[in-house]
Amino acid sequence: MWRAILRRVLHALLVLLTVSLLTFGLIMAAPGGPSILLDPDLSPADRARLRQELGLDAPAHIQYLKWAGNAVRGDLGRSLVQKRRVAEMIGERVPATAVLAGAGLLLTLLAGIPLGVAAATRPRSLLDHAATIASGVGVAIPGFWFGIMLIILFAVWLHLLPSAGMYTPGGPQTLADLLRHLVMPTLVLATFSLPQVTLFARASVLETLRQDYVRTARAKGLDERRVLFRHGLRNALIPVLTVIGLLVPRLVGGAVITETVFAWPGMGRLSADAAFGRDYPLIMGITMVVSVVVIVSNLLTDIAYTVVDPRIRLE
Amino acid sequence: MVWQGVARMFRRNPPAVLSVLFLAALVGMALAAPLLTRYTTEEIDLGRIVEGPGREHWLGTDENGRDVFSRLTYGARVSLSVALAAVAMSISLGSLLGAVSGYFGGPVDHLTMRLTDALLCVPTFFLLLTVLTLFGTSIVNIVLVIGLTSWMGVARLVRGEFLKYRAFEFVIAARALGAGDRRVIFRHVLPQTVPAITVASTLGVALAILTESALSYLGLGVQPPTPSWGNMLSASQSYIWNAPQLAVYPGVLILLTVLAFNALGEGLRDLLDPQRERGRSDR
Repeated sequence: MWRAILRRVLHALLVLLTVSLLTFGLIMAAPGGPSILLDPDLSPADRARLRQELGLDAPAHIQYLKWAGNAVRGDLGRSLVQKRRVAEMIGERVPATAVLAGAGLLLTLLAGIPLGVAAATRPRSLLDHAATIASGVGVAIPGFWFGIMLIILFAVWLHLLPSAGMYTPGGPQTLADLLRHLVMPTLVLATFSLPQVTLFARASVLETLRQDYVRTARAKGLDERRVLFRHGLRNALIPVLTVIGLLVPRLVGGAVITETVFAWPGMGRLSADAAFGRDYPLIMGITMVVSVVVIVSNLLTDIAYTVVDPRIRLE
Repeated sequence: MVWQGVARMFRRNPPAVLSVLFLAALVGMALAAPLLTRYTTEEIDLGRIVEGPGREHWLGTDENGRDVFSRLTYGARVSLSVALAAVAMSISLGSLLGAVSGYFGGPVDHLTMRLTDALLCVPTFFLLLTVLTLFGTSIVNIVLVIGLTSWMGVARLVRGEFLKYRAFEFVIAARALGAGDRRVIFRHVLPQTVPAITVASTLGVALAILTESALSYLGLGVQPPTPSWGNMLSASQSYIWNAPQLAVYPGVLILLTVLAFNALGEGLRDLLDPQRERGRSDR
């Protein structure tokens, strides 16, 4: 077990290395260079001096090694645009994104799993059809458009919810205020993941209820509730765990869009700013932090998998 | 005979048939755009800026006084061709890597699958963002990045099929007759995977349309003045207070198109994989 986990960790580190090399390579290959060097007011001499100061005149592999050496020690360098520490800039934005992504994941699980189970236990019922159709629409809806529609409905027409930000500007930063601001972004973030979890949970429960041991349990005379909760669900929900692992990258990617729609002050918007500003250290930093989060969550899912299901071993 | 077949299909899967009809109409509309529209996409009607639907402009005009119907119709050309080209790319790349991986096995397989796993757990949207801002948002670049970041599912699928067929008698027979690896891969095994690939590409088109629209929304997709559904939506967000309809049209079109491609994909899967169909009917 421990050897298997160690191997997974090594594999995860290898993935991180690949991601950093890939992103760095792309940045190096890109034409133009960082935006601050494109300033037309700079004289060629200034530009050369700036390049040297930023270490951009060194060969690519030296630049990478320098960056990687610092990154391993937790130093992600300084932003080219804002001159501040990248780690600090990311640190400021993490809470907002964590709140949003956490709320999205919570809604996905708390609504998706019960809905999927309920649909599967009453196949072809009104609830089952409604859940299946709603999920189909949810997967097909462009998240940002859904967001705009929600804003039109709840902010522009009904004046019920705030259309942007995390807190009311100038007001006290209360939990109630945060929750009001959180409603629409959470709904938008969950539009893609919620249907997937619902459909997956439904399929998995349907499949499990066809198994022989479920028939045995029924034949013993157990009532349907006991069959479902004591025998069926446990096995049916294990595969749902994997889906959650796969959803994390989606949630993080979806946060970029959602945060842009609702002017949510999180990492998603920071990453868009970084990309548009060609802020190389910031791009690298965000990519690495996000990859670590995603890879760690995948790793945890894998390990949780073996804990809840003794039949599965980490290879 | 043909009509009987169509009727049977419709009874079995109405959403899939409706989707085919919708998509056919949409493609027809995109192809016949110059015949259907009375205005070009860039013609500005200064007297009518942000106007509701009317006789002059069927669906009204946008913030620059351009005809919304024309822009939606020409936008369909752009959005559909970007999605189709991107999927063509991801399917070719995924099939090739999957085929080689599944057919040869061993270290080749190991390496390809590790790469696939790695890319699957990277948030590819960040990669898209970085590449498009650094390399520019030409249509070619958009197609390239969507294609290059969406082949992993297909690769796994095709690899699975190759692993399955690798041991079949017809493959062994072909080899015994002296067929080379390339011939066995492309002439014997790959054709067997066509049903699976068809389903994957249909579902892939849906996802590519969504990705393109999301990129356009961030200003990284197809650039104005060329209309795409995504950038029309993006432009409409500044006018939601007085012209919400501008945001509704392209969004509904994207939604319906993605729904149709998904329903078609599901329908094809049932049609091409009777095993699954049986699983469905005895639930």
